[in-house]
Amino acid sequence: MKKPISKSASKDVTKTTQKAEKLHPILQGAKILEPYKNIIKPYGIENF
Amino acid sequence: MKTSRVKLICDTGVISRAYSNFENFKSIIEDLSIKYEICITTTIKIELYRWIYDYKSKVGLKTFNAILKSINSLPVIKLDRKVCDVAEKLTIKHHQSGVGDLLTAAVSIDKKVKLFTINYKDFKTIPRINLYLPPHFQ
Repeated sequence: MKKPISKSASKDVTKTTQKAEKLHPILQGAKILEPYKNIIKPYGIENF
Repeated sequence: MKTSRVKLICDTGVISRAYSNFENFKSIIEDLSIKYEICITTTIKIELYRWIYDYKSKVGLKTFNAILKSINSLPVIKLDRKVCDVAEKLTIKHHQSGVGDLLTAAVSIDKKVKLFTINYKDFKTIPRINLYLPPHFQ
């Protein structure tokens, strides 16, 4: 008979899923700058 | 238990491209962040600050501060005396390289951390440097 998943185990799964969904800070920054993507040029490329 | 990932330095050009929403660089960062701890050096941090400061008036204070917070959250490998010694030696043969590039190369060499840069050609002539070239770039 299958053992029911313990409460703590199911919490662990939720934690892992949340961790996986959390964006890397650079990607979070990209998301914030998305509305400006037509005006922002990468470092080293002249801003004209 | 927290598992420690291998450190990888991403150069200013790489990170600013991801911030600038270049799709290929965003997906590279996404892939790398699974396997590596993406780090910057002090010089890369300064360059990123200078880069985003140029857009402060265009993006507004709130967005500007949010990006500074994002940059500040990246782990920094500091310049120390040994790194400066390596940089000084490098400059003898590579005096045409930029200050930031030389210091970042010195960090990579001294701390034995791989470096991912878009200036692959400029860096590959530097001895003992361990460059990272993602599969997309090969």
